Amino acid sequence: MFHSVRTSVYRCSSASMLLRVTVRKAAMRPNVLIGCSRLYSSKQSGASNTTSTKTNQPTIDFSKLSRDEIRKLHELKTAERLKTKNRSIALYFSSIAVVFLGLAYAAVPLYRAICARTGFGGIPITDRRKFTDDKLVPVDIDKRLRVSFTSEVSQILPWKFVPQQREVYVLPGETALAFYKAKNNSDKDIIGMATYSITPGDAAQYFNKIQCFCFEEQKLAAGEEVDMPVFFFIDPEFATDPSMRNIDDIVLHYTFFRAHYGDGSAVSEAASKGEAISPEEQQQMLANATILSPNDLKDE
Amino acid sequence: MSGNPGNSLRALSPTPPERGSFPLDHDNECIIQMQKYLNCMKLVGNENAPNCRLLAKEYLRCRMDHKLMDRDDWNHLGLPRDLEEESISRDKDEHYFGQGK
Repeated sequence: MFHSVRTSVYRCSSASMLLRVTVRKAAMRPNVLIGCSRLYSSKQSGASNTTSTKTNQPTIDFSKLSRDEIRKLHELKTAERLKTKNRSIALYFSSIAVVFLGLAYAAVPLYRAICARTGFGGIPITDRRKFTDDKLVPVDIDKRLRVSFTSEVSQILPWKFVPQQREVYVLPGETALAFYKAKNNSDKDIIGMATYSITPGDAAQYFNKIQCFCFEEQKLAAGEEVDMPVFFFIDPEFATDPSMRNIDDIVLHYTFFRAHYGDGSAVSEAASKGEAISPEEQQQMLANATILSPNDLKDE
Repeated sequence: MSGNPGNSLRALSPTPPERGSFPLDHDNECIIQMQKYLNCMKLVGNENAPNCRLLAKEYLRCRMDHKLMDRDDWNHLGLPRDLEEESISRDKDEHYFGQGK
């Protein structure tokens, strides 16, 4: 009898941890419980105090469990634990996957928004706030700003391109109109494209053009002379920027380059042949035009 | 670069023109207004005086009439409003806010 009590104590203490988990899942494993319940029912009649610690829980008499049954209970418990752990891990990872999938979908408009805001990748910033009506109110400063106009033509472009006025004296916030004149001195229709630069570079951020003739292909017929206006203003914040206080002279410099169509034709050959180009075709050709450099024309 | 340390990229990123490019005046339809404007500027010494700005307004009005420029209000272009527009808007204000104060 002593031996049986000792073994029962041993079995109970070793299996005491199993009690809490397995008892909760007792409903799922009825056969184990049934097998153990007879152990407890027989024990209650005894005077042993080894298993009387947890009397309010459904008690399992571990003393009579065989080693196999204990091992089964242990496996059961670890299986349950692993199952909950696996499930939570699976949920975490699936949620991370869903988040990344959502980010992939949101990336397109986000990228566009970021590029438009910061001008990353050469996308022009069309900041409408620069051109609101309150920006077009002239600021009263002592001395007017002198905006000079200069021009340059690429050496392979047989055009004459000059400004019509040497300079304009403006106030910040005051819109001004300036003219350039371009003449095609050759006997072919030529497409040109103009770019501009502002000197000093710091003042460029305040130089806002409402409308001009730059960065778009301009086609001049042979011998044609045309006037190109620039309508601009200097941002009123120029007057309050401390780094601009020494700047009262701004130079607007236009450079005209030669452009060609996407299919390589340097001139409007269709026009010289006398063919009529449909407007869609013309739009298409102008959209594909690129700027030429003197090296490109060496092959001609 | 500008002296403002938080804004160093601002000078590097140019803004495109608000309305893009002027269509070329191939037929020289507005050349008279342009000549008047340029003569006025020569007289004033390129000062961008108010009377020359009125001639600039005439030039732009010519462009709008000949479909060489999109129509727009003059205050969007920073130019003084027409007298007829002024009286129309004054009548509108009277209508909304009542006569007298």
